[in-house]
Amino acid sequence: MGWSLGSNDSANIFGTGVGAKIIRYRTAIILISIFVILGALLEGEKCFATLGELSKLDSRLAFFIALAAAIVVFFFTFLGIPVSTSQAVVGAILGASLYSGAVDFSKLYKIVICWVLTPIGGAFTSFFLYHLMGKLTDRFLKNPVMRDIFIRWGLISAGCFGAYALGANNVANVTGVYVGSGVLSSFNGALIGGLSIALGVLTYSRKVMETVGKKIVALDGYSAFIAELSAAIVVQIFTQVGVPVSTSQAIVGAVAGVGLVKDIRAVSLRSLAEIGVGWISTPFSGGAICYILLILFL
Amino acid sequence: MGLFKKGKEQEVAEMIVDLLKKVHECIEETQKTVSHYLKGDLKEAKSSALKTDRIETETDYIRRKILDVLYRGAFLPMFRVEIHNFLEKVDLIADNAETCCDFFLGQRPEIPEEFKERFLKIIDDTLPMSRCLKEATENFFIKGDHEFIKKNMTQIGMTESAIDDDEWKLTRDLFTSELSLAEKMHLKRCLEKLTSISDQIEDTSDWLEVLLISTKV
Repeated sequence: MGWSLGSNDSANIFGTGVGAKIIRYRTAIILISIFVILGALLEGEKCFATLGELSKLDSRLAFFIALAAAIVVFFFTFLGIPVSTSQAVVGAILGASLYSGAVDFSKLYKIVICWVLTPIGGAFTSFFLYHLMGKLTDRFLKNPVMRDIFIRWGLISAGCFGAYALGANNVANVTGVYVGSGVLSSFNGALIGGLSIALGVLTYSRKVMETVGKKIVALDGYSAFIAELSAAIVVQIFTQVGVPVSTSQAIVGAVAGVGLVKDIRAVSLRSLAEIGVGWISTPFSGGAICYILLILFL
Repeated sequence: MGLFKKGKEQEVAEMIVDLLKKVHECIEETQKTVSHYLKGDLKEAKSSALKTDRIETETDYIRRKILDVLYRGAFLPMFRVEIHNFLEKVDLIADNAETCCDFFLGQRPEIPEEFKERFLKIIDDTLPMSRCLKEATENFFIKGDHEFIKKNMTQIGMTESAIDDDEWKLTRDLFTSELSLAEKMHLKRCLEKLTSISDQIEDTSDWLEVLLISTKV
């Protein structure tokens, strides 16, 4: 799970920078790995609790939840459908909870609200940041060389921040169920989760990063910087709330926010529809697969 | 790690400033070529035309060098393309200047005495346009004083309008003169070669404006 999360989501972080040749692929994956592990170790435990609160888990259930979520992520990725690991894991937990009869739907509202707010928050943040920083850069950075250096370093810094936020927020998707079931301590869960995400980033992220990079790079450098920064801010805010969210949906929302400012169709209606469908199909698939697996094997 | 090397952007900016200086030199030599030719000093005209040719070759070399650094990662991709377009326009200024000199030395148009001053005025007026473009470009890449750049671009536009006006009147006077049709056509072509330089400077100035706009949010 951690490996596939790392290989897929790293594209959201440095896809723009690598596509624009601002940063080399090798440098990008090293930076992502370092900051993902840092994020997981320093703030990863904040999201462990939320997943644990959804249901009382034991080690057997934890294993099937992780397996079901991994199957959903693999299957959706194989079909080329964007998928959120957070939603797959939460769905699988609910499936296991239904099986064991210990489901607590009251905690689910908070999670669902956060999922909906992720792309919306991304759009609002990028919309306001675009205007605010635009005024400052227009006033103080008139020289194109200085402006280019600012955007370059801005993209790299926002990428590092994004990697940190990814580690802090999404490590719970990887090892949260094992921490919740008591198999792993919080620190070990954060360490193993962070390392497995970093392994995915280091070994299998080139193709996705280059593909996504070329798509996002259609934005100008300043817009890409604002989109990356906004997505990282939103994901980090939800880490403080303790809810794992989708970094992909945060970046799609942030790009849409920039598109609203410039009246460009940076994000197609199809991308937005896919997010809406994902809110329902991914957790349902995770839940259904987990439920079936438990019936079959327990 | 490429990120921490000496800025490619600074290197590109400095080379673009050098390129514009060379292009201005090219126009200066073209002006000398036309001036010597109209005075009947063919030897000096040839010497200036050869210098124009040499400087044009140098501008080609600088442009290729800039493109090489540019596509090795200087500036962000969209701005890179706009700089490339700007460079193509700058290159055409030097090309037109060289073609103009070739026309005078290769085809030796016979310009009647009463028209000589007016032909010379066109290339004389082109020279300050080239200077304005050079200074505006230098300012854009080094200082970024947008007011100064806009002022220079306005000056280029106004001078170009005046040259267009002169061209129209000169064309009319040529075709209402006693010259043969062949002479009229030849002089008209000669006039077009001269005005193509100022046309191209104005075109390039418009592209500088595109660069200026693209650096704003």
